[in-house]
Order: sequence, then C-alpha cells, then structure tokens
Amino acid sequence: MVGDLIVETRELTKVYRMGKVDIPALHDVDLKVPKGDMLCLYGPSGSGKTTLLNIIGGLAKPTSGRVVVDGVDLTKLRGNELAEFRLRKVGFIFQSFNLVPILTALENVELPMIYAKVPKSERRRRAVEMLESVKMDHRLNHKPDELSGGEQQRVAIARALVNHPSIVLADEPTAAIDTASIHMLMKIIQELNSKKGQTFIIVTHDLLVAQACARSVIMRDGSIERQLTGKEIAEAIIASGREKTIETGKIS
Amino acid sequence: MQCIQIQQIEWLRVDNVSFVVMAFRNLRRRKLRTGLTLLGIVVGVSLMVALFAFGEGMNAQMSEQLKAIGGADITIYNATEVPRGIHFIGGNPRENLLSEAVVAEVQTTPGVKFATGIYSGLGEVLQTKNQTYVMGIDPEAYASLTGGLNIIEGRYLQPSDVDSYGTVIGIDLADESNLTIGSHFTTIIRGGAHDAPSIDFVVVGICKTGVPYLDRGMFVYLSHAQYILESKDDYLRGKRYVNQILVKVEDPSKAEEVATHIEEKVPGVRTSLASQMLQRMQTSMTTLVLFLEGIGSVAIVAGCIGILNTMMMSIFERTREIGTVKAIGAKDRDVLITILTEAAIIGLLAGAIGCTVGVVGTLLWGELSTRAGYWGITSIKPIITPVVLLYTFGLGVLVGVLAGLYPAWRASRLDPVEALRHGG
Repeated sequence: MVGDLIVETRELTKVYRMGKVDIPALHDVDLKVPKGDMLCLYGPSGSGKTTLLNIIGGLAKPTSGRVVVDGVDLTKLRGNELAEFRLRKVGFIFQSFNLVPILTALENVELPMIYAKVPKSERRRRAVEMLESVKMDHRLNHKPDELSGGEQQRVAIARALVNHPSIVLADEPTAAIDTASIHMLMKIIQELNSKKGQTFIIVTHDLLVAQACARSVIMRDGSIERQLTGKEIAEAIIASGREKTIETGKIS
Repeated sequence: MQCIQIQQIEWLRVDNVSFVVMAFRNLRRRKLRTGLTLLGIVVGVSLMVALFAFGEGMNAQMSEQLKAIGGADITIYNATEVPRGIHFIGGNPRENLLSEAVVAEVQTTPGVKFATGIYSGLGEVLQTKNQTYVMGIDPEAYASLTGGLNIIEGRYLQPSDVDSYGTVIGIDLADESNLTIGSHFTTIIRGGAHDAPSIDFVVVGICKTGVPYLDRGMFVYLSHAQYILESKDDYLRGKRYVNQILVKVEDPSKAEEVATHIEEKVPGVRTSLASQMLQRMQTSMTTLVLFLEGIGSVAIVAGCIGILNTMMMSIFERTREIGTVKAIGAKDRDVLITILTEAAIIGLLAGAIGCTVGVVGTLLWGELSTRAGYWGITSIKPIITPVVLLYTFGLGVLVGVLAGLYPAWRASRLDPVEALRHGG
C-alpha cells in the first residue's frame, strides 16, 4: 500500500503576493496520500487547506516544492496540460455545488465527458449509472434550481466521479447543506470509498465530516500540525465538546 | 485532406451539438438582453438591406431614365431649372418653361442634326383620381431619338391620334385605372379645378418602360399636353411651351462645342451633355453608395458594441461557472468555443432576422411610396439582389463572431481559482 501513493507533496510552499506584501499560505508541507484513502484536511480558515487542495488539483501552482499526483509531476505542467490533468485525474466537489444552471442533472454529469470527447451514447449511459450510484436517478432531467442542496451536491459528486478520476477533491462539501443531508452525503462518499476504492481528500470545518473520514490532517498556519484517525477525532469530540474544538482547531 | 474532414465532422458531431445546445440555453436564460442585443444588429442589417436595395434601384432607374432620353446628345432646359433628374418629375409644369419657338432656334444651330421638344408634367385621370405623368412628345422625333417605346399591346402614336386623341399609356397606369386598348378616360392637370382644361383620350397602346413614373405615365401629342398643362391664359394667348429639348448632333465628338453654340445663340437656356449627365450620375451614385455604406456601418458598429457589451456582462455574471468548468477539465479552447458559439448564434439570428425585416420593410416601403403617388426619389423601385442579402447576412454573422472574440478570449483566460472565488 505504501508504494501506491496517489498524492505526494514535498516541501510544498505557496506564497501569495498582495501588492508588495508576501502572504505565506503553505510552508514546507509534506503530505502522502495512499491510494484508496479518505483523507480530511481540517483546520481553521486561513490555515492553508484550500490552497493545498487547489495545488493538488492542479488549479494553482506552488511557489516551491514538488507535488506528484498519480505519477504526474504537476510542477512541470502548464495551461492546457493542467486542464487535461484535471479532466482525466481529478474530480472536484465545491462548497456551493457549482452545477451549471442551464443543464439538467444528467447533462451536468455528462459535461466532463463532453470535454473528454466521450461519444454521446456512452456519455449518457455512464452519467445515468453514476447518478444511480449517488441515488439521484429519479431526478435525471431536473435543473439544479429544482433540486435541494443535498441533491445538488449528490449530482456534483456524480459529475466529479464520472471520468473515473484518480482522486476526488472536495472543498467544504457539506457547508451549504442541512445536517440530514450531510449524513446521507457522507454515507455515499464512504460507500464510494470503500466499495470502489475511490480516493477522497475533503477539506472541512465540520467535525462530523472529519470523523467520517479514515484520516484527518490538522492544518494550522500553512503547516501540517498533526494527523489523527477518524476514531481519534470522534473521541476528541466527546471529550472536549464540539463547538470549542471547531473554534480552536486543536484536538488533544 | 479527407482525414481532416472526417475529424472535423466527428468533432462537430460529438462536441459542437452540445456546445450549440448550451449556447442556445444560455441565450434563452437572458431573453430580454439577448433580444435587445439582437435588435441592435437587426436594425443595422435591415437598414443595410434597405439602403442597398434602394441604391440598386436608383442605379437601375437612372440608367432607365438615360435610356428614355436615348440617343439625345444634349438636353436643354430653362436656365432657371434646378436639375432634378432627367425629366422634371415633381416640378411645377408651369415653371421653368421654354418657348416652343426655341426648338426651331436650336434646330438651326450649326452641328444640330435635329431637335425635339417635350412638355411633361403631372396629370390626373379624372375617372379614377389616379395620378399620371403626361409626356407630351413629337412621336416621330421622340421615337427616332430614343429608339421608340416598348409597346406590349396596341400600337405607337400616329398622326391620326392628333384628331382622335389617341394615347399610349404605361402598363401600371393601365392596371391601376383598369384601362385597355380602346378605353376612354379624361386627363386634367394634377390638382386642377373642375373647370380645368381636360381632354378625353382613347387608349391606342400600352407600353412597358421599366421607369416607374413612365410606366404610370401617358404619351400624348405635344399639343395635347400643352392644352392640359399650360395655364389657360397662356394657352388662349397662343403661347406654346416645352420644358425640355432633346438634341441630336451631327458629330457626337463635337457635342460640347454645339452645346456652347446653343447657349450663346439662345439666351436663358442651360444645356446638359449626355456624357456629362452620365458622369454626374456616376459621381452621385458613388457618393450615395459611400453615404449609405457609412450609415450602415455606423449601425453595424453600434450593434457590434451591443454584442460585445452583452457578452462581457454575460461572462462576468458567469465567472464562477467558467471557473467551475475549467476546474472540471474544460480547456481554454472549450471555453472559447462556448462563448464564441453564443456570439455567433446572435450574429446568425440577427443576420437572418435583419435580412427578413429588411426585405419585407423595403418591399413594403417601395410599394407604399409608389401607391401614395409620390414622384421622384421615393418612387424608386428597390431591387434586392441575392448578393446584397448574402453580403448583409454575412456581415451580421461576422459582426457576431468579431464581437464575441474578445469576451471569449477573456473568458478562456480566466484563472480558475480566482473565478471560483467570484460571488454569484
């Protein structure tokens, strides 16, 4: 298993330049994510977790350091190569779903396959299959504004997975949906992870999400502070009370 | 070559149908704005169609008019006449006259082969109230100068018509007033009182000239036209007028010399050389076409800015959506095509609607203005050629694509992380 790394970062550093001021976002981050992992990036806002996710997803480039995803050294890719990488290897899930409003659920799931030039009949078949696996096959022809938040996010999951990515990156996927839907969503993600071996990295504020993940990386000020298992997080919640833990981001 | 074609077709089949569908839905998403943008170009395109159609029509009519004076090398007017065209359409038939005696004077000028006077003006068919253009001519001289009228029914004027009041009428007048060979009708000067001099004519022939006012006109003996068109006083005092003299010279290369001779010999006349007239027409046509193109271009540019504005607003509103599709793997080119397709569809629709509106509007305008009986410039028969339609339609599409280029490029270059952070 150790040999089968999907993500490996080494001394990953990202500095944002705002005018004349340099704002460090990541500092020497070494992260290894094995294939089939379900990893949570947990930490307060500004801790660099979204930046890390964007770099792994090929959306942003690091200032220095290396990032290898599924054998591809991202620091060596440019423009359209990065787009191709995102198309083939990465699935994105966003906080506010970001479904294309003019397309139906089915068409939204087909969209990445249109960019991947998958023939129409296969596109349709795979999209339907994918929507079935997120239990959305009863709403194939609904537009996003006719779906609830939880439903939209399930469609977004189907969209993220339909091109068979090496890794799915989710940025606060539960922040905009209600608690009942969160449970269902996490159950679906867990199932996709355990049954299909799909690797997930989930950025979250939510301890409910963190404890549903196999592993959590706690981030603070652009660095990895420590790593915990889901079980350890669950215990910590009971020990210290949820609210306080979220605020400090510290789990003892 | 074949390989490339197959690839293109494949590309079209797999991808672009979806892009086109998406583009249509995106345009439908903001119906009002799309509609208003369309309107901007539709106005430009239809204006272009109309302008070109009337330009073509005017061009055709001028050459027809030139044919109407046919082989005349020199045309003579009263010096006070402002040249309006070849005949004095719309002018008062009692102004800017030349005494018929002038014709004889011109005739005796050295170098003149022969001269003939024409007295023409607007008249009215009493029975139907239709307007008509009375052309008083010397039939023989007029025929030899112009090559004769295109008679489609009946016959040309002959000397017996002086006493029997025969007339050759234009085909449109025949249609509108329901006249056939042998029909009788009464003609008076346009707007004449009930006691105005009138003549009961009999139709002996029907002609088709292709010149709108002549096809609504009637050819009569000069003396008949003088009776109808001259003021009663003048007529009773035995004054006989013409308002135009057509001259054929012995040697066309010396036409200019002869014209100068005539102006020196006969006071108060102005001569106009056919060659000059042609030149003047060509110059005015060039000016007109330039002017029309100018107007059209301004309209099209305005439409172009309209599309540009719409597309810029649209990509701004869709910033996050563009960030999303880039994140899920759309290449710069995919985004470019998406936006360009929308702009091209606007252009295509605008071109099609613009051409339709232009054609319908032009035909309607042409029809109404001739029906209303205006003479002169408004009675021009617009000519819509496929070339004009293709040109204006292509212009609409081109404008759409051109106006879409910059927004599409901007959209394709958006940084996905920045775009995803965008609100809305």
